[in-house]
Amino acid sequence: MARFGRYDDKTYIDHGVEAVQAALVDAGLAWPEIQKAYCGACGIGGFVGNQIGQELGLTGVAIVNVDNASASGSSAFRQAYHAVAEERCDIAMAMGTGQIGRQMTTPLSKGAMTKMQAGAQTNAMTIFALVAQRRMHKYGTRPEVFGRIAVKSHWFGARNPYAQFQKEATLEEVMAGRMIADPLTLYMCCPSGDGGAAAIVTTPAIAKRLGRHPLVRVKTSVMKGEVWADGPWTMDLLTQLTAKEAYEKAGCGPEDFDLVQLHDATANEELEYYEALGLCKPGEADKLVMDGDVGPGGRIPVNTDGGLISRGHPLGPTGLAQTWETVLQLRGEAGARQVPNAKLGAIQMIGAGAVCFMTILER
Amino acid sequence: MSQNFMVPAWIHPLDDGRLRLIGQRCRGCGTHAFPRTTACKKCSSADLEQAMLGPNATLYSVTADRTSTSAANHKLVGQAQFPDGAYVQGYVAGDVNYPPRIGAPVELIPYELRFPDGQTGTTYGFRVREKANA
Repeated sequence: MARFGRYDDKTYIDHGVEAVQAALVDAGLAWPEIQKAYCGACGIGGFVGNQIGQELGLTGVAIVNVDNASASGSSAFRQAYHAVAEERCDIAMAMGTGQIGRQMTTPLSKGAMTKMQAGAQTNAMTIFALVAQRRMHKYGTRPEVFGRIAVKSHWFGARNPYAQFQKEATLEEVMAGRMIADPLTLYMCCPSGDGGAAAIVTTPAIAKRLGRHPLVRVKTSVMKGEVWADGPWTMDLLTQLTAKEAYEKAGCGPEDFDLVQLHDATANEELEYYEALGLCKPGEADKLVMDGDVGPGGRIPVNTDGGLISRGHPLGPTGLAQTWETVLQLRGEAGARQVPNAKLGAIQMIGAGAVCFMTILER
Repeated sequence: MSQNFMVPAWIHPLDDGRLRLIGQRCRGCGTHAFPRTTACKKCSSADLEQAMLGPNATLYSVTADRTSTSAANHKLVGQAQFPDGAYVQGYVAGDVNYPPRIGAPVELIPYELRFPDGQTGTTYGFRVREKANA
């Protein structure tokens, strides 16, 4: 993991290399031992993983590049998992890197941009705010609920040395923040930023031989694509369907999880997924927040590294940062933000509303 | 207001100054949609016919986009549901500090966008139907 932030003196290749080297050190492996590699990056050009590989040594390792928006890193992880699970190799690397807002090398065509502007589709935060307004209308959710999620995010971020924002925020600060799209203030929205993350997947036998940490096992990794829903917001249904399949395959459910990581581009998006993942019944997510169930010391802590809002969201590495955090928690190595005796963690990641991943990790 | 529609293929102007949107209806499952797609998003049928949406709809959600640090660029953005079931996102006319209520009856009108380079373009937008509120 390479700390997320804004770095004017580094490239996305630097972030990727730093993350890969950190993962190798963590595992006690060297780059030439990696047999297959998968790289998640979004909008920063082609062959990103190969550029990282060129820095690390031309070992002949086959590198596949994947772009799935926010879920690019999750896509890389799932590919690495399947490469090992299907016995196509013994050691696979998933890496992700990003530099959002700068070095984006795949701009939209003029025609595509015109359609986005004409259809009022230019700003993701606005779309999430529309979801928030609809929820406030439907359930009577108060903006304070979104604010408390942001406070929680910043509390966890302040205890994560890899987070972009490592400073707590009070509810008063959050609510008084600059309005981005009503009712979402700056504190309730994820930042743009840079960074890298990586994970190594291997067989139980090799992991035991390396023996450097408590072993963390992938119970399941499920991916689903967008489905039609009767309404403008499809991500709840997509998450529900992906979670349902993951729970069936893993033989466990939300009542079993010790912690959850999920896609919180905005605070209200996080709220939606509490219900979609079955952490509570529809319409009861507000209570989960107000009762402190999803915060530190709560029944089911969510986004224990600060989430997209505080840890940051460079797109390419974000899903792998979620994986890193869950692995740390399951190992009992998460320091001041450690969830006591964590044994089972779930990870949800959405990419542009068009793809959803659920990964369940177990110690 | 100029009528140089940014995407002319979307717009059907009415004589009274309002608009209809040129969308589609699936002959297979009856689902209406805008913008048009190659096949129906719900059932994948390619048996589609052109369908006009609006001008009347109901406001499903609305927010003020204040992403820009310049208040002059702040805009109301909403989603409206048409009587045939289609949901469409678009700009909403009015004061960003006093957005219309969700559930308000709205209608399609021309909406002028002004870009940082001084250029303008016209697209569709929603405004509250005054007669419906009377």
